[in-house]
Formats: sequence, C-alpha cells, structure tokens
Amino acid sequence: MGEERDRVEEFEGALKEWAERPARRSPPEAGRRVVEAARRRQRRGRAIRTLLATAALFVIAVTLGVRREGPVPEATPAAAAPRAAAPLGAGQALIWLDAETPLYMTFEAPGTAPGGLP
Amino acid sequence: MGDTDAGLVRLAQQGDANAFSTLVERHWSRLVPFARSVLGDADAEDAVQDALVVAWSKLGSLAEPAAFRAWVLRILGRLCFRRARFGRRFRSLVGLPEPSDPATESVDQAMDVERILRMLAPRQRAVMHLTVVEGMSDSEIGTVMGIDAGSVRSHRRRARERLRQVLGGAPAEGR
Repeated sequence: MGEERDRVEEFEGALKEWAERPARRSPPEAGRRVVEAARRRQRRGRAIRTLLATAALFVIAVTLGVRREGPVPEATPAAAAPRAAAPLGAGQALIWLDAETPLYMTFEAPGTAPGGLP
Repeated sequence: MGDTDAGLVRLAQQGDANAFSTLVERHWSRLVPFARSVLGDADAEDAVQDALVVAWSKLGSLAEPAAFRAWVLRILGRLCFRRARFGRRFRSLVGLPEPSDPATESVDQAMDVERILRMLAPRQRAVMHLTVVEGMSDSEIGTVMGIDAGSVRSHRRRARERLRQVLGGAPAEGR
C-alpha cells in the first residue's frame, strides 16, 4: 500500500514536470496567432450574417409578392368531384372522400330495415 | 490601467486587439500545460488557441475582469472535455483501440505520464492537473470546472485509486 502511494506521489511529481515543459509556440507568437484567428472568425461571422440577412430579405420579398397577387382560388369539392355517381334516392347522402371514392350514406328512421345501395 | 489583467480585459472589451494579445502572452504558458494534461501533447496548443478565440468573442460577458484566468480556464476545460469525448467516439467509430485500455497495455517502470493520464477520465485528469500542477484549492477547482468542491474531491479520490491500481500493478477493474 505504501509503495503504491509512493508510486502515485512519484507520478504526481512526473506530471508536474511533464505538464510544465515549455510550449512549442512562444507567447508572442501565440498572441499574434490568436488575434489573427479571432479576426478570421469575425470576418466569417459577418459573411454568414450577411448571407442569412440576404436570404431572409429574399423570403420576405417573395412572400409579399405572392400576397399582392392574391390567393389562388381553391377548387370546390363539387367542381373537383367526378359526376359519374349513381343518382341519390330519398334519405341518401353522398360524400366524395377523393376524386374516385364516393361514400354513400342512407338515413333511416329507427326500427326500419337496414338501408344502403344495392 | 493596462498593467493588470483587469485593465487589459477592459481595454480588450473596448476592441483593443493589442491588449488581448498581451493577455494571451501572459497566460499562454499556464494554459498549455492544462490542455496538455487533459488532451495530450499533440492537441494542446491548438485547443488553447481555439479557447482564447472563443474567449475574445465572449469577452463582453465577463463581468469580473480580474477573474480572467479562471474564466478562460473554464472555457478551455469545456473545450478540452468536448474534444476528449469526440476523440473517444472517433476512435470507436474507426475501430482504433482505446489507448487507455489497461487490459491491452501495461505501464512499465518508467513514468510515461501521457499514457498513464489517458487511463483516467478527462475530468479526473483536469482535477489532478489543477491540484498537482496549479496547486489550486478544491473550491477554486470547482469554480473552474463548474462543479462543487465535494465533486472535485470525489474525482481526485477516484483518479488516485485508478493510479494506484495502474501503477501498483493491481488487476484492472471495469470503469
């Protein structure tokens, strides 16, 4: 146990020595590099902001242009639905689920026979 | 005004690049060892440079200019932990063996500090560095790392246990 502790202490001494070796870049060189890198980053940030602002302006312009032209009228269900459907009898309703799918509903009073189309 | 850290920080906050450069020169030699302990020799200086660039861009948010060193160490610590995590994921992605796996490595009698450090988790390396090299108190380390003093002690205890295990040749247990 004592020997292990000694080894840990020895390691801590070696860590201090190893970590505190001089850096490869001298402090003045590091200072210059950091300032250059920061300026590059600022320029890049400005370019990105300009690009984003241009894109936002473009989107706004397109949106305003579309609004000025007015909304495109939507087709009514009646206009969109095909006409080739069986004629409706009394108490029947027809709903088009899509252009090819009619849904017939037959309304009956309680107690009468089940309805529906043949 | 410009002689102290606080004075230089105030000048740099007003956009004085020379003041910031002086701050970098002043702290460079203390920041590189920290990054070296957490990330290893090869990536340390680039990590410090990147952390200082981030620091300059956020300098306006530093309310206590006199606390510049602890503040930069905190930024550097976060960056180093992120990179250490990314390095581990990258190694597992491309199928490289973990250099810190004691099952595949044995530590010889000579102190290969970098290899031994890799057997610790990044936060344990940081705590060991700030304790042994910087001589900081637990609360100072806690401030730098954004954790409380109890967690600092816990990281250090686990790091020393791990070191005893590795250096003493005891059988390695899972992490």
